[in-house]
Amino acid sequence: MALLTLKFVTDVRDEHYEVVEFHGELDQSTLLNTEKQMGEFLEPFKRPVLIFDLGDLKFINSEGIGFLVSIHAKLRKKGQNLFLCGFKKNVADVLGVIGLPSLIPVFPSVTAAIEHMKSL
Amino acid sequence: MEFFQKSIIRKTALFLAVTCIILGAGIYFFEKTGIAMLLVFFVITIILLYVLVHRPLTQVFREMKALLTNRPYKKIFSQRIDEVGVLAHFFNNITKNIERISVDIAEGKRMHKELSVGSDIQRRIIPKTMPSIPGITLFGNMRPASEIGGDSFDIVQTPQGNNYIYVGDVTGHGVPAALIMMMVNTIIRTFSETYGSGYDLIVNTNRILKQRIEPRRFMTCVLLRWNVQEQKLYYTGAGHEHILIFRKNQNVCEVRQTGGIALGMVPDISKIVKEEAIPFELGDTVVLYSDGIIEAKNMTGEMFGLARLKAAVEQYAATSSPEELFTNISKDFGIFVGDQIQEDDITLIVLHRA
Repeated sequence: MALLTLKFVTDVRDEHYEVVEFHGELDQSTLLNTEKQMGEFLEPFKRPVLIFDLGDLKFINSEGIGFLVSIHAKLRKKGQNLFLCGFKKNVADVLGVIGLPSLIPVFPSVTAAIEHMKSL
Repeated sequence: MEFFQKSIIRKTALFLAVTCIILGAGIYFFEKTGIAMLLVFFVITIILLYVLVHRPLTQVFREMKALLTNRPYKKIFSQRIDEVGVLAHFFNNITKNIERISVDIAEGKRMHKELSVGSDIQRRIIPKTMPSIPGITLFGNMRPASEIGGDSFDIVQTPQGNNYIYVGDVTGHGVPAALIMMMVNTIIRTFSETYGSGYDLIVNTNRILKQRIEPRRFMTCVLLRWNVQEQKLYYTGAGHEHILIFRKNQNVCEVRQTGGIALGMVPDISKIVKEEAIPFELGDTVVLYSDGIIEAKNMTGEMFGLARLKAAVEQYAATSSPEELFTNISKDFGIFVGDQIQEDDITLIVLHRA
């Protein structure tokens, strides 16, 4: 059974964003727990940008992508943004095939995502 | 239920009574006194046994007997905290759980029946026989991971000479995915009578679908359009897996990205998708598939992967009809996954330029 750990990284010097690191695999077996954790996290989340660091995400399937799209939709409703960054090749391929970059901004690294955010 | 014929309580009371009588008789024979006291003790003992033990236990056992012999039983009301109270509490809990399980089983049977009906409905909309299309031969099938699935494929022929062949894959599987799959199937069938290109079909299907599904749901799709008059093949991608094209002249399998974005993700995909022509020469073969094939794992957790699928196409396509190629790929796939449980719906369509 696949495992996924989320690590919430808060930048105390900058209140404009927060980073969530994904370590493991995002599929139907890890989805329920991830949704629960993210639901609890998003409830009080007020910052304008949420960055998902997917650099250590080893696998994602269509249900995982559905999860990313639902988080994006929730944030957009509140006027916030989701950025995705740092993919392994197989994850980047899946996201590219489905056309996710047309919907959610993607960046090669967290630094690039932060720079883009500051340029807005 | 023979063991119910004997009562340990009755036997105990009888044993106590006989013991008291023998003891009383003995004392009376030797002492000639105390008979009145003995009788009082005997009567009090019997009354206490009846009130404190026999009556409540009889009530508990009556209900237990009713339960075990499938007769109507009642909840036992008891405030006692001794052994009788424990028995009553145990009985009440057991019967409550049995009732809940019975309801769950009945509900499960009802749901299973409804799923079977749903499965039948879904099977009816998946093409069972391949239509005759001038210029091409084809074969395809879909196998859901559960009773009903989110994969879809269809072949739609129009009077204008357009033949639409598509494969779609809704996020996840099961009932929610199947409902979306049915929705898309109906929309595409309906729009194929109105629109004359894959582009219009996909853009308008997305427009309708997006209004009706929650954000986490979407459907990847690739739609081929074979125009009989032009003898040309076009494709429109909506975030689906690659198209495999076996070129008979070069004996190689080309992998082409479908592009676009999955249906249901954004309201308007008119700027994102496009219809493009695929060179499709005599003897060439096109293979469409869903991710259930390439993401299927074997017993060691290794995925079947695009490379294996491509290799299978290269190995068999030159000498196989669409049905034979389908069968050969299915065999290779079956050998690879072994006894591993199918986790996702799988679909494979083979198209041959004849």
